Amino acid sequence: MPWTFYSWFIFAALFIGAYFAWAWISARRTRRNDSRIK
Amino acid sequence: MSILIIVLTGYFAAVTTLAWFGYRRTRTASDFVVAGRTLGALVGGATLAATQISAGTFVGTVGLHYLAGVSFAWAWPGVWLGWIVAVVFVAPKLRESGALTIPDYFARRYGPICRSVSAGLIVVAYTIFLVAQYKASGIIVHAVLGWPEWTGIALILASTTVYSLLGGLHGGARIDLMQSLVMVTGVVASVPYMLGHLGGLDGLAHRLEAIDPRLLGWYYRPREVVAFAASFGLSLAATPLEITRFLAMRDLTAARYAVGVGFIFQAIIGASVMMIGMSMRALFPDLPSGDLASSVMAAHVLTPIAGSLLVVAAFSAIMSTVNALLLVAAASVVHDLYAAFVERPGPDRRLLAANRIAVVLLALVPVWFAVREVPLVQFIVLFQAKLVASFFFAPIVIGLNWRRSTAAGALSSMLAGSITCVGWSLMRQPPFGLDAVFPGVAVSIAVFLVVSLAGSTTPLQDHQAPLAERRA
Repeated sequence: MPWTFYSWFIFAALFIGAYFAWAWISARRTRRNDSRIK
Repeated sequence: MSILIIVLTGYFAAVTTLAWFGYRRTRTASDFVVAGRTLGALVGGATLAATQISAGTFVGTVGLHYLAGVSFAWAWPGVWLGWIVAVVFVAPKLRESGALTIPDYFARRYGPICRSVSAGLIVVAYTIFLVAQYKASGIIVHAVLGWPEWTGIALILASTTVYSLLGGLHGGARIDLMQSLVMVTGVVASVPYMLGHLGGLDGLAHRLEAIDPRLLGWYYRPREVVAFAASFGLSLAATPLEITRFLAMRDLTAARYAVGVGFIFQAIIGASVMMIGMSMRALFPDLPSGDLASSVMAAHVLTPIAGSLLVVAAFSAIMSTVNALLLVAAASVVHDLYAAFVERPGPDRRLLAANRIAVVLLALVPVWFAVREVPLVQFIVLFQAKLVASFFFAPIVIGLNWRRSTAAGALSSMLAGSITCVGWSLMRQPPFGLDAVFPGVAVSIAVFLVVSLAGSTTPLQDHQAPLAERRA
């Protein structure tokens, strides 16, 4: 199989990993802000 | 065929049971439309994925991979970017607004005329989308069971309308989770079997190379792939079908994780659908239509159990999208047209009954179109995506984040965007070979900005004031 095939899988894995990292950081920031308000 | 009927019966029984549980939890119109705003990340992610993955994926996307090979898979990043725009720029402000539907948000932000126009467009665009779903179910039933296409349409119509009627989004979201798991199981189970037939990945590559070398490279040129990705992405960033799901989630953190869960479901299904389309091209290079690839595979290539699972997975994709389309379109009709203008304020029980009546009526209208000859399923799906993007992207994505946007700007951008999109789509040879989504969205944004800026010298009316200001 050529690179156009495998590169899609690598891209998808990196994209989803980066997204979850961002969601986790955002959730932590939200929790910290909420506890500061309380 | 008997195994398929047993699997289908079990599947419909499970759907009905979950719908019944949803019915018992549905007490108000808010329960019906946004599941009482209680969905967590897993159910939320499943409902986002199941709503987006439709007949377009199981029949149309398989068909396009059959036709074009690997290159169409690069449309998925467009879908994902659309969701990221939705969760970052749309979901937080939309949740803050307290709106129950998108036209409800339009009423608060831009006034009653924009509410009616947006509710009307939702009904038109989603009727077009429903035609594709019905058509696909007819194709599957005809190819797999040999029954006439209208029986597939009747099956989807009856089953989905019943569970949409009963459970609203409480039932719909949990059924979406089950359907997402069924879809993943159905497609993933098919791939090793297909590759076994072809001698693995290398065998598949050799056969495709012999048929057309472009199937392994850029059959669709990058410019065309960008057009597909943009159609899906710009539409998903603002389509009421998806973004109203964010309103149903417990909080913003759940919504963010839900998008990630949706990505995982989509990546697995997208990769499997690509393998199925390409494997079918290698095995049956001369099918009359790519739309037939998944049904022919289920009926003639897979083992009876794997084939049955794939058919149930395709039905899951169709039913989850039909359910979402019916709920959103019914809410537009009842909450934003009927309750807003005919019966103000309506008792909640009567609104709930009106929602259920609207579901039945809206489910029946597209049947008239679906029993006729229509283009490839994926092209119908793409057309409604372009129309929704041209209509909603500017007033929702920019309107939520730009203080100077006005009702006149929103109304004129919606009309200019949709007219441009439809007009461009009707051209035989569009200027510069440009896909209709680009001029549609560009004109809509330009008109939105210019008219809003030109009109902002007059004082803002109450409904035009930024939401944060009104809360203060």
